[in-house]
Amino acid sequence: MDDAPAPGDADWPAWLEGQMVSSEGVDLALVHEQLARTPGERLEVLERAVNDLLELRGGRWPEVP
Amino acid sequence: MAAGQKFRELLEVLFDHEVDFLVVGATAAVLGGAPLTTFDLDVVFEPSSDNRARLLGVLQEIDAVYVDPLQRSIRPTEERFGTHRLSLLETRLGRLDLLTSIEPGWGWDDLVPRSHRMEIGGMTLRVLDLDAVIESKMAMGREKDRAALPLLREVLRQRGKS
Repeated sequence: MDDAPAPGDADWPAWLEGQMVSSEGVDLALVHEQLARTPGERLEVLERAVNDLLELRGGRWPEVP
Repeated sequence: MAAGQKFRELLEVLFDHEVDFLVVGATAAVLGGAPLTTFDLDVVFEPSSDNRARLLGVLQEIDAVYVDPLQRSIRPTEERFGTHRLSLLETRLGRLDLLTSIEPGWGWDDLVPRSHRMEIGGMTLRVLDLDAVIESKMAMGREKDRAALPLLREVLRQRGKS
């Protein structure tokens, strides 16, 4: 950590990406994991995640905006 | 009405009935590699009367009714979903949003060149390109759309590296 550049330094974005975080705060490990999946697998993961969330919400969908 | 959100089954029933449609919105982004969640499937359909008739057949089969805060059971008709830009439906397979266009004013003919075909479990689906999803979300300008932009742009960037 002592070698970490400060935010705003020229090598800050590259260092941050080495920590698997983009300069806008995106978790790159999550992105890489998703990109490694086939489209069918991505759909399965989405379906599982949404149905888990729906279960937590007592089966209620979010309000229509 | 539905016991859960069944994205694959919704896509399958549309595909099996030869409805000409295009996946847009967050589901298109997920298929394009974005780790996002969404509670509904957004599709734009080809607007010819033949296609609307096939779509109506699907909607009857999956017991579609309009999402209605007063819980009335309003069923879609060809005229209704053909003339409304957006039809928010609940079905026995989950939520389905039918659109005739998306922001920034892209209809079917604008969207097809900005889409690609994707194979999923025996289906060939037309899916909006990720850069077009980003452009559309920028044009919508809602807070939740803006919040997704850094992630979507990063996915596009990472895809460009591979």
